[in-house]
Amino acid sequence: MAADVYVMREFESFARKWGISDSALVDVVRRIEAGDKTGCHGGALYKRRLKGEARGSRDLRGAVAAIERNGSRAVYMSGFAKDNKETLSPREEKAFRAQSKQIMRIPDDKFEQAVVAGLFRKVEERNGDKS
Amino acid sequence: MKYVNDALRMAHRNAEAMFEHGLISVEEMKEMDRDCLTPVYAALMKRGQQAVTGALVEQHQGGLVPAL
Repeated sequence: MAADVYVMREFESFARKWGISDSALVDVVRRIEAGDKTGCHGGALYKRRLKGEARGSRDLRGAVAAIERNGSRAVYMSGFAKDNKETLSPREEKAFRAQSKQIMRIPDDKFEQAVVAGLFRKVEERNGDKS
Repeated sequence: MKYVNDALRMAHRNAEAMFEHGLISVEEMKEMDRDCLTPVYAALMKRGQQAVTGALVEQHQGGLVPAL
């Protein structure tokens, strides 16, 4: 079963600024679930490059996400506005890995409360995105 | 606060929001402070936390605070 895709509040502003669409975010998750390991930093941590659709936005942006294969949720946490690499510095990797573990540990009921409180937003799927 | 970069600023703000909603512990929040803030700010945060704890202990010993 495909995971539900969420964005955290901070990533939401980032994606809006650079015109990164919901469908682009869902597509990345579905490709990872299908076995594409590009940008994998071990465990559930991924950094992928995305093209924004904002006016004058020709550069790729980097998106950092916690995506657990065979898990029930995939969460975009942070992003890099200027991005020409798929690597993370040791400090970035440590912080994002810790945050991905924190997110994956949240029980379903508390996660739902956090969605209601606005910490996370569920990304709406287009028809046919989810199998 | 001073962050190492914008990506870690976002991670730290996410962590603050999760902390406020009780989704992560104090220790996990401190870990994010260490990783996301510049070393000078991380040290200041640590000293600030120690100073607050020290002040509470002093007040308690002086009988101003009934219990910690």
